[in-house]
Amino acid sequence: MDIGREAAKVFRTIMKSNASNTMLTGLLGINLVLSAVFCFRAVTATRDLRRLSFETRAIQFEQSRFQQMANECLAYADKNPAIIPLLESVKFKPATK
Amino acid sequence: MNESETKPLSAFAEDLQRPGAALQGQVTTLLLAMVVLSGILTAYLYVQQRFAIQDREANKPVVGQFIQIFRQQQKPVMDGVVEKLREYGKAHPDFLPILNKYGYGLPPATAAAAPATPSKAVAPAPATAPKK
Repeated sequence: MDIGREAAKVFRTIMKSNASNTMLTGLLGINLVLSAVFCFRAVTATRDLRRLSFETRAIQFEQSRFQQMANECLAYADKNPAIIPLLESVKFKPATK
Repeated sequence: MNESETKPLSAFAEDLQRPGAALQGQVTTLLLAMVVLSGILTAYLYVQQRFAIQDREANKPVVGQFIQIFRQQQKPVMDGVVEKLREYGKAHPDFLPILNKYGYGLPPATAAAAPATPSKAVAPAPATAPKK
């Protein structure tokens, strides 16, 4: 009977330290889950931002390209006045009265 | 008689407990360190996601409005202008290079039907023919 009691004491002390380890492991698990959630949210938000930025740049590029073409059309109009009415109709060139 | 039997057993138990306790201490220390490190990582990721979400929420209305205005107002006007210029280009082939330069050239079907382009564009064709 005594032998059994001694053994029980030993296991009880080991079980006590296991409780703190279990708690720390739980905390670690919670931290990992939170990290994963925050990481996912950060990645999603950054991806959205990048998509918006890409669309803005594409539009700006399109506008700039169109503006350059308009300028070249005006330069072309100096050599070929036949295009002037067309340029006036699309307001590339102010209408002459 | 009973005491003499339990004494060696308790000594044995203490011996068994000492390295176990040291090991437990090490495991606890390591776990504690990992909890602290992962806590720092979690805090960093929290701040990052917060900033990223703030940036997105701040930019979304402005950029969304910009994109909407472009698609609903500017794009149809630009397409209309390009269409008129293409019509002009059909009648005046010397204007086509300007449209082509900016990627507004005639679609392939109409381009084939359009009058012959300047001699520069035609020149490479005979050069490739003798290779056959």
